[in-house]
Amino acid sequence: MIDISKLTIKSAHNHLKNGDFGVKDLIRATLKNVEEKNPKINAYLEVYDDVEIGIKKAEELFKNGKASLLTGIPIALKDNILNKGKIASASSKILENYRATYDATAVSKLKAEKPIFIGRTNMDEFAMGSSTENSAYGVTRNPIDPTRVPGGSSGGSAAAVKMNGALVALGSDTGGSIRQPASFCGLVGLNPTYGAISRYGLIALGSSLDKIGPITKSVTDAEILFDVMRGLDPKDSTTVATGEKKNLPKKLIIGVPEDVLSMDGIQPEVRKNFEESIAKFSKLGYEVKNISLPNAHYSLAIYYVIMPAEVSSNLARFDGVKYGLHESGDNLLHDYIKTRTAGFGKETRRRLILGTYVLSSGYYDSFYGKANELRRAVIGDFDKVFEDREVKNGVDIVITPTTPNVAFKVGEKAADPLSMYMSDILTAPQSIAGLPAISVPGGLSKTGLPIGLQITASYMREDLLFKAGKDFLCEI
Amino acid sequence: MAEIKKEELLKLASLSRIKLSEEELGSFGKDIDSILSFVKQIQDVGGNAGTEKRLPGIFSMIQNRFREDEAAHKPGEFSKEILAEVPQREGDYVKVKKIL
Repeated sequence: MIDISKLTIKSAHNHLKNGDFGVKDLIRATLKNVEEKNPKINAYLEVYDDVEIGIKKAEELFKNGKASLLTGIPIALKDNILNKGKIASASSKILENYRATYDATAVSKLKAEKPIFIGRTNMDEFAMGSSTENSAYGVTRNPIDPTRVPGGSSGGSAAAVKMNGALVALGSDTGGSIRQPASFCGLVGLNPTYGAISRYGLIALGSSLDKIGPITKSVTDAEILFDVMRGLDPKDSTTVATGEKKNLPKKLIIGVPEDVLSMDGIQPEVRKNFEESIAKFSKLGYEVKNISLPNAHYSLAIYYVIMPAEVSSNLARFDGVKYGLHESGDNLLHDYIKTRTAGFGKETRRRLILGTYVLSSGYYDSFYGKANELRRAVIGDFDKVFEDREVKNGVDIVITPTTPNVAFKVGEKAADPLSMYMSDILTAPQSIAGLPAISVPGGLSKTGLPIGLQITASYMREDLLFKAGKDFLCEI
Repeated sequence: MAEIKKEELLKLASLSRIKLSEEELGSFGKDIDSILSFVKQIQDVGGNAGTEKRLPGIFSMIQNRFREDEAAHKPGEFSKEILAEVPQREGDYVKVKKIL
């Protein structure tokens, strides 16, 4: 039997090319893992019933020598990314039966390579959460320790990869939703530059923050997926051109922001592991410098103004008229209210109220206006540390832990939304600033739970993330 | 900061086009108070909210992209799929309750 846990995109591709096993065998082995583990883990909400068609096409490409790296590779898809003809529910009751009428650009770019989409994965409803406990379709559990959460909101995607129910997965990140589950499951999670991958076909949460990105077992796999999915898209005006070949400095300079690390709530064990990671980079020949990001500690507070504000606007489209759930009332207004009340879960309702509050007259300037002003200050902090390193003493990358703690117990934070929100304290700064960041496995806690290391670079410098991540994980 | 009152929650819920349960009217007040008291730290920073609305960094690099002002696709090209998702329809029309 094929051991999926040992495979990367490249090694699987080589096996397929050399005929060690066929696409059919690879997908069968993957589906067997899903069958065995999904009832307990609940990573997948749906396993697609048409994988056979994909297998045939992929096998043909191998026969004709036209297969690319991703041909036949089993991929899991987060339930908020549109795949034409398939349900995309964002793990909400309001979209329970919604079938995507088109492909997300990221999906259509992948489809051109003929991978096999295995199914759609569970998530916090509309990507609102850090534990995948806010899904309308049950909790997802961490394959490493099923009493614990896999992180969120892309917890289903991370769990699917960790339980070997896919080789790689797509997630989305708004305030940490790729990086935090990758960290909790001992995987690699890439949150690209804002606009590097088109958001067309991603069900919107916070439009100035949302990104699609890969969750994988290796940095190389994340890079392969990023390269296929990135690029300008006429259907998303916020896309930017990335991937231009830039010179990599011989010796990278790392910045360590002590003012971020001294924030409350970072577990001593996480801090200790982080110190070991710095030492590892020094050993690898990286120069380490202390830097300051004086406004970064405001990021989570800024985030919890801007994101709910964008949520209250984005979720206005769910009205029971055009698609999704419809609950009939006495008149059109009551149709809206009944539909939305029946369709939205508790956390979604909470954020709608919060977003409506911060945007309401009298609070707009003191919350939304102030948050945007400070958002500019956070961006300014990063701009300064990434300034030209020769002339202005800048750095190439910034490192911090990905999360303040290791995977927590299912139910541990469910009753206290603010303590749940704090999970994103180290990932919010990059989201606020639109910067690319990658989480890579940094090591294990005493109890064997993964601790993630987050690497951040300047805009469109994913190349630096890949270089540092590969060096750190000793990937060739 | 004054606690969010029940009437205020009801008003916000009505603006959000949702209805809160009795239980939520109790718990949401407490939750939102605790979130707002955390978020309020941004108001303690000096300076007024600036008039500048554009964000710097990557956000300043984003450019509007325009296409010709003409039909982007053939009439009816996607109608079948899109109408299939409409919960209440009559023939090829979206059915809603009387507005006027």
